Amino acid sequence: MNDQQAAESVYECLLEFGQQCINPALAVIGDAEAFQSGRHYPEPYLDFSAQGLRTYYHSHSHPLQAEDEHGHFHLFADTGEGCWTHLAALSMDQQGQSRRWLSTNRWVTDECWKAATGMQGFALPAVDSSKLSLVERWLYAMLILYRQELNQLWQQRDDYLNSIKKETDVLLEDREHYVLAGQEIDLLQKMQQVLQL
Amino acid sequence: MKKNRIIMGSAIGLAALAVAIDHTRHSLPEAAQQGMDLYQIEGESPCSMSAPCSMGSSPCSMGSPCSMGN
Repeated sequence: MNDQQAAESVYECLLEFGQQCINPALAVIGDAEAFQSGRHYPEPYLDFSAQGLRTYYHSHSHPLQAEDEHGHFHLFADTGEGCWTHLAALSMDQQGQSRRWLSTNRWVTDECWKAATGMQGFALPAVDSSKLSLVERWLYAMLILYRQELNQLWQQRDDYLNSIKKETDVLLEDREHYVLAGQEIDLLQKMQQVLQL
Repeated sequence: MKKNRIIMGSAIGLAALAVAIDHTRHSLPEAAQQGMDLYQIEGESPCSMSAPCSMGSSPCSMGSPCSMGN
């Protein structure tokens, strides 16, 4: 899937979300009245492991997230080494709109850490979309659509870590460092650019 | 040059795209009850795939509360 196909897939997903009067976050939250911060939606996660990906949505109580943020999707990829690495978190606002990509410190997600150089070579596998749920299709297409921004995010994250004079192993577990990098996004602008509208 | 594209059998332009995005704007629920944020537990990770009762210790990992993680 190239970036144009990804943009088209995102558009198709948007139409389906719209027809169902939901958005990606509502699709996984389900019973809105029972929504709790700190829990995973769905429990334990969406597992599209055939594609080497897992994700879940959750929110935190203040101060772990920005005031304009409702919650975020955490996206993990199979490293092929028996563990999972955190690709990024996709932050959603109170209206269920994607606002920014975030990268967190290793201890936050208890992930298998991969440096940016390794992440940038990470290739998303080809996917049979018919086997994915609507949210999975949307997330997969978003990962491809924003590949360039994600590459920048990982580099920004590593640059930040390198700017701190501490041993990397110590820094990756340092609770003083939580969100390490962020990339603001504007979906309409991005799709306009990619689809040349 | 501005143009429309054909997606799902329909021509879309910037306006149609904006409307499609707008139709996904729905207020998300406020937390009815405070779940356990793992950062509140010393040594836990708030986003791990594991959670308070699991073997994991990260707040945003893939483990779920009381699961064994992977």
